[in-house]
Amino acid sequence: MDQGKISAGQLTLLIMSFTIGSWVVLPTGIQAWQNLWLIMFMGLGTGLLFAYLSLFLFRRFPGKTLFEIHERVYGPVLGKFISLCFLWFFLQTGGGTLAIFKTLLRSTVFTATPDLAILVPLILILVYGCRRGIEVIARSNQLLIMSTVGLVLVSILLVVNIFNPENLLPFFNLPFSEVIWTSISLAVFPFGQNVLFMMILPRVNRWQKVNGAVLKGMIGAGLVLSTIQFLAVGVLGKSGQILVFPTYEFYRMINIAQFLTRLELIPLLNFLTMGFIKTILCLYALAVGTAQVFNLRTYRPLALPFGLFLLLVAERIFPSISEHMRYLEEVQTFFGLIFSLLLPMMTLGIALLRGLPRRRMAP
Amino acid sequence: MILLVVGVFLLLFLWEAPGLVAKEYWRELAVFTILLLIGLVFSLLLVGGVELPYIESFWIKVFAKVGKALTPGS
Repeated sequence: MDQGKISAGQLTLLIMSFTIGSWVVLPTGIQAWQNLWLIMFMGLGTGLLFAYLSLFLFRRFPGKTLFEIHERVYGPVLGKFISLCFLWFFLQTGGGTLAIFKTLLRSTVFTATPDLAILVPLILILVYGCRRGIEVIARSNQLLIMSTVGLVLVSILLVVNIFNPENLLPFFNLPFSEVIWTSISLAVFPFGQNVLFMMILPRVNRWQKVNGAVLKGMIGAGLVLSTIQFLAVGVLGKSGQILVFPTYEFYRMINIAQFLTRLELIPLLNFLTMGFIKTILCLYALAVGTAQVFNLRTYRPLALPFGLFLLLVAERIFPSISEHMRYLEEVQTFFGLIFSLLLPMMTLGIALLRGLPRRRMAP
Repeated sequence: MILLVVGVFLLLFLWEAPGLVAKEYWRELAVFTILLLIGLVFSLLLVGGVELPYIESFWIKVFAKVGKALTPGS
């Protein structure tokens, strides 16, 4: 198995990239468009509650991945079955992210390029990165997330001349039930998907610092996403609600003295790297998780077949972006709640009832 | 096209399998082979023009009734 170790700081940055992931180009909760940047903080708060539930479980079983905890709590048969359900969740999350970026690229830049020409090179890099281990992924991510945060900060200056504060008004012109529902859907996606890090936490060199690292990572990602959403609403106004990729469109409108124009490709590439990190973490969790389910000595040979699976899922996950938006609106919250809240809560509850772990394990 | 897909999968197997055999990682080889075979079957179905269901469309059907019952305002 992977013997690589990452620091708490690297974990924070990985969580930021993973959370920013695909949400940044295709936000959920679009029905609350004008207030999404504010509701983001409520979603973050709820998402942190979900995360701390999982972290409480991790602290009871330090050094164990989610799948190892399943086997201890449920026994080998049921434990493996629940782990297989999570493997499907990781596969669908990774494949969905790939599909979103493929659709974005095909509808904006590579309009005549076949899907496979976009996906195959990406999959090859993903498989290579996954085989190199979590240390290499974490180190690559450090540069990518820094450039993304830098881009967001620069964006604040670039949109000064087209930003209209009146577009942000009125605040909270929504029924309270819709605000709550949107915040729950935000807690599930993007924040709830961080349950995947339960497969990576044992690789952190000082597990006592994990709680703080998760907190910082999720708050950092929430701030980045909220800032981008704030700028997008200020620039696009209500019309942003009907756009498929509002973030991309708002960068397209940047125009500084007829000189700095058509800058949308820079954020496009930047956000693509966030999707890349999200997908590679899904691939890593898939390979490591499967290796643990089948008691293998190494996860590396599994990276290639799971890379192919991601490609197949990306091809067959949704027929059109409108169907995907329907999925986000009608299904995503329920589907995500099962994995980010219900199953970890059930595992924790049963562990507490059974008094597990019986002996304090060494970290 | 089918031959091309089979050829690519064969190459991938030949690239990975000898290392596993040399290290006597039999269990790893078995899991790798099964996963690759599953991938090959689905790839051949796609290349052969078989209409596989879309994953999210499937979930939309499954969750539609639950969603309507629980979403506020519906």
